[in-house]
Amino acid sequence: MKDGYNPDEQDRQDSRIRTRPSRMSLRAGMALSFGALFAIIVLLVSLIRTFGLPWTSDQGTYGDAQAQVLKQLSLVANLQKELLLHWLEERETDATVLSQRRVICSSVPKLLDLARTYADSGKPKDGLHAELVKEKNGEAIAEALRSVIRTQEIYRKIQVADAETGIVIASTAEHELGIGVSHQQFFSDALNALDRASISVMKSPGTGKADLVVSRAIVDKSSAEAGGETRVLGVAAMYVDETRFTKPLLYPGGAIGDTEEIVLLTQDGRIITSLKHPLPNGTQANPLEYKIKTQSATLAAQGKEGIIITRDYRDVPVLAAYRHFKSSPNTGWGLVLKVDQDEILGPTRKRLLHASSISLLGVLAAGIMAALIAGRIARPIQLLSRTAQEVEAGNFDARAEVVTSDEVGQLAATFNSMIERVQNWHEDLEAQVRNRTLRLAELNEDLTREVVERKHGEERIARQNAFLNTVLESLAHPFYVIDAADYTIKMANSAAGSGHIPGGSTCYSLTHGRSEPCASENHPCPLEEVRRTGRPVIAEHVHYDTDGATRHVEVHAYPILDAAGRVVQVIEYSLDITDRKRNRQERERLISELEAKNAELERFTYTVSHDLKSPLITIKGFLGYLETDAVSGNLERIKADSERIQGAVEKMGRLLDELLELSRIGRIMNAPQEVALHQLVREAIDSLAGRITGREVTLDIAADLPVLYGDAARLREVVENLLDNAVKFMGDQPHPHVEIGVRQDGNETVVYFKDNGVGIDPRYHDKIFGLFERLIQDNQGTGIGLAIVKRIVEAHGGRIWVESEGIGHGSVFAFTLPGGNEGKMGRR
Amino acid sequence: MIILLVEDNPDHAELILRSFEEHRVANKIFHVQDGEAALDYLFRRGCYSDPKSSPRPHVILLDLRLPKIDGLEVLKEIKSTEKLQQIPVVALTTSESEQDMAGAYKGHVNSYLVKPVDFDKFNRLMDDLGFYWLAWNRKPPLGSRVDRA
Repeated sequence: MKDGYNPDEQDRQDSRIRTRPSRMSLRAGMALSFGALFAIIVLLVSLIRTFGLPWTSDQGTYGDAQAQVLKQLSLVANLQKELLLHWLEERETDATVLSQRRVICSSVPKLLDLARTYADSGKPKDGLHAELVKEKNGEAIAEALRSVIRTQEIYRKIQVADAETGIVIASTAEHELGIGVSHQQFFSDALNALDRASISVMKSPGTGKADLVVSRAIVDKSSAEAGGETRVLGVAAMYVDETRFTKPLLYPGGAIGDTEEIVLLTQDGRIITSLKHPLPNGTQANPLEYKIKTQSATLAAQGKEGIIITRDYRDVPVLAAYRHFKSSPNTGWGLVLKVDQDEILGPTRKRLLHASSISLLGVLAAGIMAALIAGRIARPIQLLSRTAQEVEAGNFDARAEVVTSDEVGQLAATFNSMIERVQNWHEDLEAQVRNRTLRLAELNEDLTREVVERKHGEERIARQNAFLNTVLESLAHPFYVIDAADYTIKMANSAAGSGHIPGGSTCYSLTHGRSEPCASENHPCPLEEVRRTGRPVIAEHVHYDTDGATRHVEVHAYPILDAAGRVVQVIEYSLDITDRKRNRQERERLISELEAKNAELERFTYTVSHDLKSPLITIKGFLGYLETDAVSGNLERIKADSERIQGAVEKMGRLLDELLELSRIGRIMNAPQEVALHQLVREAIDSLAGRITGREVTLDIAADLPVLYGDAARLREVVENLLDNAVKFMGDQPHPHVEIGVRQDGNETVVYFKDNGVGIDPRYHDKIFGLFERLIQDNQGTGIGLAIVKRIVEAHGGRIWVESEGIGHGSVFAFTLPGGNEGKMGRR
Repeated sequence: MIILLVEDNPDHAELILRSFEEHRVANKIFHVQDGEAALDYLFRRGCYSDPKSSPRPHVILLDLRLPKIDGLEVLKEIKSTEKLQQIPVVALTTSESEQDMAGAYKGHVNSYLVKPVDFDKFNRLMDDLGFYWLAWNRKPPLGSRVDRA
């Protein structure tokens, strides 16, 4: 940020210093928050005390009280159930005892006939009643029944009815005699279970309340004991008023609370006891008619047992325990013991209300206190705030008033010292800016100086570049710097023809005339290899100079690397090694020539040794035979063998002479001179005159024989040898004739010796010029003559060959020497 | 026993013939002076076309350095001709050249002998030679065929 004003920045700083505008003053806010905090704490504590801590086992006083009451309810319900069961058992015992009393068992059968007679005949009931009243036996039974009522005050009445017709045959209530009870529940119950008493409830016709009836069948004991069929005589029924057993039995005694109540139910949910309170619609529920549908009652009727918090028949919240038990084997009763929740939890609620009102008071008190304290704290802070605003406006001399010695006071003091430090920094900063400005001016001067120095440096570099250029120009070898990426020539010296290279030329187009980089295997691109390896490379190339002549060049390529070690440019210069190469080839040619000579010499040596050995074997062999010849005295053989030895020795001498001659050829040459072939032929004829005339050979010598140029003595040997051969191999020709002439074969002048002698098989035309090769075995030829001739001709640069159609056709020996066209054969 | 002697040097031929005669080596020796004559004899050509004048030899004594057709050439011809290749060929020469020896064995020569210069040795060699090839050495009957795979 420079010294320019930036409104956004200013805003951001402001928002940091200023507090958000609040609707309440600090004082009011504190009062409210402290008050609320106090109230919440008080409420929370009392709530926890009452209802306990959530997710813990602490249930609070409310829960504790509830659990306590439920436990008590459960206990009392158990007691009541036990009591009832016990009582019912007693009643069953009463009925059993009664049914087995002798007086009843003996008297009942006597009354039965009477009852049945009436029933069968359909006579009026009144008559029966009157008769029963009069019946003595009936009176006896009634007396027994009454005695039971007297001892057991619980029972209201007891009656005995005929098991078959259901007609009451004896009763403590006389008016009941003769009426039918077969439709009653207890009657069928008793007959269904002969061996025990049954208990049932029925509505009392008089009171509308429920009656408890204990009934038992009266069985003819004598028939049972005799082993016959059990004969049921009658049914005894003992009636108990509901109130007679509920009042004393089902009164919990207010141990749990004033609102406690016990409700007894039948299996189908009808109430047996009357209810303590009216139903919600204001009517009183009738026993055995009203079906109670509360949750506890339903559970009890269904045979469940337990405790529950629920609503009762009035729809009032209650705590209840419910039980179920069997009043007889086939029927069960439910029992519900309940108490109003209000009565149990009322005190706890009251305590909570008190706590709430106290906390409300607390809110007020704390609010007032907080307002006072906040006022004390806020004032110095307001002072501090005002000072800070002044400082912000740029007044660094403003100081906060230190009012108190508490934390706020310390804050003010700290603030003051901070402002002092800020003031110092501010001054320091200004001083620094001044210093920096000075430094900048100095730097500027330095920079100017540097620019001047750099200019000098550039001049120096330019001079160096010029020097390097001069060095490169001085080189006689073509020198290039080539871009490694696209092979364009970046720099070249004049030996490379720098003046004629168009810009952007590539090395391959310039030196090879190619349109793409060189890639042949015998002409590999050295650049490519330098690029790949990053090392200097030397390669041999064939270039063509401006005349189109082949030049062998050695191309040296050297990499120029960048800082990362990559090849960016390649220096290439080439050395013309054409002469070097030519010299090397010449040397190699000479070496191979020498080797061939050596091999020839070796062959020569072997041949010589062989041909020299042959006469030796002959000599030694026949010398051996000479001895035996001498012993046997065979003179003819001595002569013949001696001649053989003689011949061999002579041949050996000739052999040695000719070998010496052969070795001289090419080694010892006389100075070349012009010599007429005619002259040479003459001399040869002279030396062979004896043989020619002896064989009567006619000669035909051409007049236009050329002048030869060469070693005269050797050339004479050639002529002599050829003439000698011609004369020698005449065979049995009767007219031997030899022709020496010259002819033109194309542009060659050929000298020939033609005879009409034996001729030579074309197969052996080459062979005859070989060393020691003979076609005819005699003791004259050594096989060296033609070899000598051939060597001499070749030493003069000429050729010699034989022409013959075969045996009997004569032969022509022909040779040519260079320079024959000018009439001077042999001049090179 | 028939021997074909191929020898260009008449003196040597005389020595060999005389030696064989003395040691009673063979009852018949045919002598030819060059390679061409040797092949003419074996192939019954020219003046040897009459089979009576050119019976099959039991062994061929072959000089290597011969006029016209070289001894090695003759050997090659013999060994590449089915009806001749069974005939043992003994090189009898003055050449101790390794090249000649190698060439001869390459041409399937059956033996390579160098003529000794010494008279006694020469005689003994001829004696042994005749005895070895004509007495010790066993050979299939002339003209028996060999099936080639």
